Amino acid sequence: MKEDLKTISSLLCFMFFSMFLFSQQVKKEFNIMIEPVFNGEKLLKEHWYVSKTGDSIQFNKVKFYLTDFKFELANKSYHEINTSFYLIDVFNESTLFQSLALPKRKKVKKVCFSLGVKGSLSESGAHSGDLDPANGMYWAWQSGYINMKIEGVSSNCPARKNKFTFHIGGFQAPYLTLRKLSFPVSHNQKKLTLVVDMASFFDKVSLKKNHSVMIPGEEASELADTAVKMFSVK
Amino acid sequence: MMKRITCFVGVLLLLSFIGLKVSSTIFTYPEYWPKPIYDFAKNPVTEEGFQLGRNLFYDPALSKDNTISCASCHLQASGFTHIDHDLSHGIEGKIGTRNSLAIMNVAWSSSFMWDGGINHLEVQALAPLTNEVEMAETLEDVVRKLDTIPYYKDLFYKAFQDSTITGQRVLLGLTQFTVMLNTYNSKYDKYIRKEGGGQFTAQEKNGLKLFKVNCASCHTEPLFANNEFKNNGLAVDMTLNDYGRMKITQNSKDSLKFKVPTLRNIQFTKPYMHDGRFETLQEVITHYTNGIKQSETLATELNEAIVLTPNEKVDLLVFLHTLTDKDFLFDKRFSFPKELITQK
Repeated sequence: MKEDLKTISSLLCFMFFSMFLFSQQVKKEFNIMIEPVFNGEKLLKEHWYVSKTGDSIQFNKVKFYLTDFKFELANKSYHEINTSFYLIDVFNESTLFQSLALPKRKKVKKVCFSLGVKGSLSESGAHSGDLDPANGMYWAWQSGYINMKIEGVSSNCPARKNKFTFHIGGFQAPYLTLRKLSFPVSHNQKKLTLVVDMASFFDKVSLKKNHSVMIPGEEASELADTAVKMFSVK
Repeated sequence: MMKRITCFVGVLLLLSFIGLKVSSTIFTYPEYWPKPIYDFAKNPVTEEGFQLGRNLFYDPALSKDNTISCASCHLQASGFTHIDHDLSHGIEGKIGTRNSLAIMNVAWSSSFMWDGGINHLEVQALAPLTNEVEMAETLEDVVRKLDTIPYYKDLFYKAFQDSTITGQRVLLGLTQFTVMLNTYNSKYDKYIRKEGGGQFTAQEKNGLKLFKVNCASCHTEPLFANNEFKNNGLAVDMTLNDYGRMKITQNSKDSLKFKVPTLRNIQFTKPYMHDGRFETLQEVITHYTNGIKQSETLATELNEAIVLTPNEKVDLLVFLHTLTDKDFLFDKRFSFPKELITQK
């Protein structure tokens, strides 16, 4: 009998402990909603848009990495979200919503993240999930992730079949293409709508002159500067 | 609750089982060699992973039209390069711009390809796989193709304890095969280890001496390579206009520099140089003694002319033949897996 009680009590202890562990895992979430637009208009695949420079543009592919999310806290320290690497495909709804676990009992001041994949991941072989090279966002002839792909057609584009192709990447100095972003968050805010306005990119890039960049270098680095300006919050 | 605990314990057991399983590695090398550069922690070599990689290496399913495999340009009997072909071949008879490199002792390489554009062994296979004039395929498609083949589901399960095929696993599997292609049983190695079969003749001894003076600064023992890029004084082939490493670094200081390749099994890896311009080792040696073309980026090691008498040239050649490792070139573990035909 005594033995039985002992077993039951130890089992109960274990159960409470497990429940405690389980409750620790239930965390509040912060949601990131990505809203791809062209000048305020919802971005659709193979739909015509006109840029300020007069280029009529259609998009077939817009993909980019948002990575290394962290929250800046009230005490200026950072709460990092481990392994937060997201491949966003603007034409795939399921990638436009990402959920981040909020730190417990801490005030969040800012959400910080990178556009692109950090260099160390471009130097450490084959990774899985959103970083799997099978996603087509990894260069073959020269190692490194492609941080962003923008592909489509424009009647003003002198390339074959009027196609424009921007593959922005490169992790070696001086031509780095990783760009950092951060947005302030108000008290109790639990979501952020991240607007990606393709128009701001094509207002600055004239497809007549510049329609294909597919290697790391000065051009890619400049395009990364232009690309990061597409991001704002609602 | 009990269920959850049982489940928890089960997962723990499973994890420890997996932990045990992958911690065994079959990768070995002579203890007097430097430590490998490849980090095995993320991808320990197991017999099952090696066999998966071996099947992938020999399977033409990796090319767009299912006609060529890695082995098409990397044949075992020639040190895993394409004997008698100056430039690499691809699907539909397409021809590349460089001579396929030998695959040997790759765990000691810090970068890959003639221009060093690839920085890690695991992602090396992406280059030939996706090159339009080589296999012209995508990793995504390879995953899709393999996923329909029960034979591969089984191989992936054995290698990763999970039959899900991913791009990462295809690459890790291939790596487990190529990283095992190690050669260290040549006559030279036996000479160094003072083993039977390693008695050098006077000619071979003199060849080694000449080698140490004239060649070893770049083709450094025991790997006979140094992980560097050098301009070895070859005139530019105007039909290719290949400036090598400069394409990767976009730095004019790297103009005409190419990877220093290993000389192991050099007797069988002909033709030689990044564009396969030399058919014989005699031509290679003559290039170094009489053919160096001066240019701004020429390797400093070649500033001073290499002078060899005809007899010394023969001795050097005889020494180079001691780097042949027949155990490696004919090792059945590295050859075509017959199951690929009988069971796939």
